[in-house]
Amino acid sequence: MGIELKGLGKTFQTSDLTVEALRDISVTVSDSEFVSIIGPSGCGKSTLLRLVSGLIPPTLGEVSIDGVPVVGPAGNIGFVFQAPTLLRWRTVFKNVMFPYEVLASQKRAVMSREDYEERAEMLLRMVGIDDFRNAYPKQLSGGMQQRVSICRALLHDPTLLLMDEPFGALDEFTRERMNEELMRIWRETQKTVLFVTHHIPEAVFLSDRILVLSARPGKILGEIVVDLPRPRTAEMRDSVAFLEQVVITRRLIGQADGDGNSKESP
Amino acid sequence: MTSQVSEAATEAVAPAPSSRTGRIRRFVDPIVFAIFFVLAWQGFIWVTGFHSVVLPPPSKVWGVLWNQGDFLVGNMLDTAVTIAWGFFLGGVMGFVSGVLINHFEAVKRAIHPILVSLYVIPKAVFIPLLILWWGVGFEYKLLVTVLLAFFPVTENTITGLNGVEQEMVELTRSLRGSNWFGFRKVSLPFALPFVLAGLRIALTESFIGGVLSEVLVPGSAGIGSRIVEAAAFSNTEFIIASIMVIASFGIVSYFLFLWLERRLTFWV
Repeated sequence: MGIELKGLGKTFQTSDLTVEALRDISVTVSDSEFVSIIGPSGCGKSTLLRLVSGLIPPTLGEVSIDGVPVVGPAGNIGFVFQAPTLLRWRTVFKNVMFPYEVLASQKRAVMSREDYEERAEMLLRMVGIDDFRNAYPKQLSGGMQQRVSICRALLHDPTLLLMDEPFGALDEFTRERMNEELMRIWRETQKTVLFVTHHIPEAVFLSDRILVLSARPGKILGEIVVDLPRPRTAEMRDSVAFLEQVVITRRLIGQADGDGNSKESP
Repeated sequence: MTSQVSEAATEAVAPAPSSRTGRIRRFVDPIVFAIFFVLAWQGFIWVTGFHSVVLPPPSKVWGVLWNQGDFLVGNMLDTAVTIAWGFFLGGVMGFVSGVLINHFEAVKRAIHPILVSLYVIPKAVFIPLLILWWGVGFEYKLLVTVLLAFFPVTENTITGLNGVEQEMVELTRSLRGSNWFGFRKVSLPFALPFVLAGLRIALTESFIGGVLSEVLVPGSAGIGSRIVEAAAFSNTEFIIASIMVIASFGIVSYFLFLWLERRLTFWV
């Protein structure tokens, strides 16, 4: 069934300022689909993820996940932030176990602690850092920390994975490796993913579909169905088909930037 | 040029094997300096013939410590009770008010400006009032100490809790965790290093409060009162010996706290 956004709008209001962040967003994302959201900075990409997660309420419209309207955090999503946001006083393993503790604190855990621990082990093995399970976050590189944060987002087997520029702070080489790894994780877990980025090749490499948002207020300017075979491999980045997709996306974003900013030649 | 390079190279390598010596010298150097200082002090009096009432020789101070050590330490223990209770109560109250101020916008609006203005007023101005209200007994001394210990803990607790990243809060919320869970498992551990640093300042402030409150009231319990009494008889060696007793209590408790702090916040 997936996610459905219907006429979604968000306006932030402070005492002396009104900012319309998003306007009339209507999208349907089907199960196990990988959808990227791309657009100029300040176009409300992160706001969109927060609306979908129920962290903030929409001003207009409605979000529903698997047919159920979102009225607040439902606990069935995994969130990966731009910063790894690990708890520094916890070991890698205890960080990955964090969602279990939240669920257990309200008797919402659906498996035993042992089963969750096993799953945490499995996830850490999947991203290749099980050797570091007893390390503390500061002992890990940025890429490794973000891997831990992805494991944490997957521990409670969420219906939906929301990723807010998760690789934005990494260098280009690490980013590409993490993209390939994310593809493998996605294949293995079959999650629905909403992925915010401002990096065009990354969006093309990962996505089934790319939504291009306009500058504030964010509106959906267009949608690109990425016409590349799966599984995606590192070599594909050099293919003509891949580069064509990048160009198509870039053109669309060029329009998104609005009249004032599109001084660069295409 | 080449010799400079090789020198730099040996310098860069040097610290590793000498770290053991470095650790020993950290203890030895201050002791050597202290001995040197005492000898210079004694020598200065020999040479200048300074009057021993103005500046007593170290031998006389040592004599007080030797003969009246029990008396001094006993009085210091009286003071330490005030310090300990003031530190404890001031710390708890400072922490709780920091949490409340951070959590409730209304409390912050109403109370924080008042607290800040209290913070910048020299606390000694409250002493006459406190004596009028409470007399010169334990309660008064405790209040002075609490007053001094309180603010650094409040301010640091607020700073620590304010620093919690938005994403960390969202992480708990996105999993539908309660605010209380988020506070216990995320905000509190995050703020702990700040709170402990505030408490460390509060500890030294408590020493100031405990002794200061006694210095103003001769005839009461505590080493501060003994100091003012000794001053009436120009008993300088006694005063200096008392200061050394206070200092050693202060140093030991400070480093004990520092040790505890480092153990509790191992991740910093």
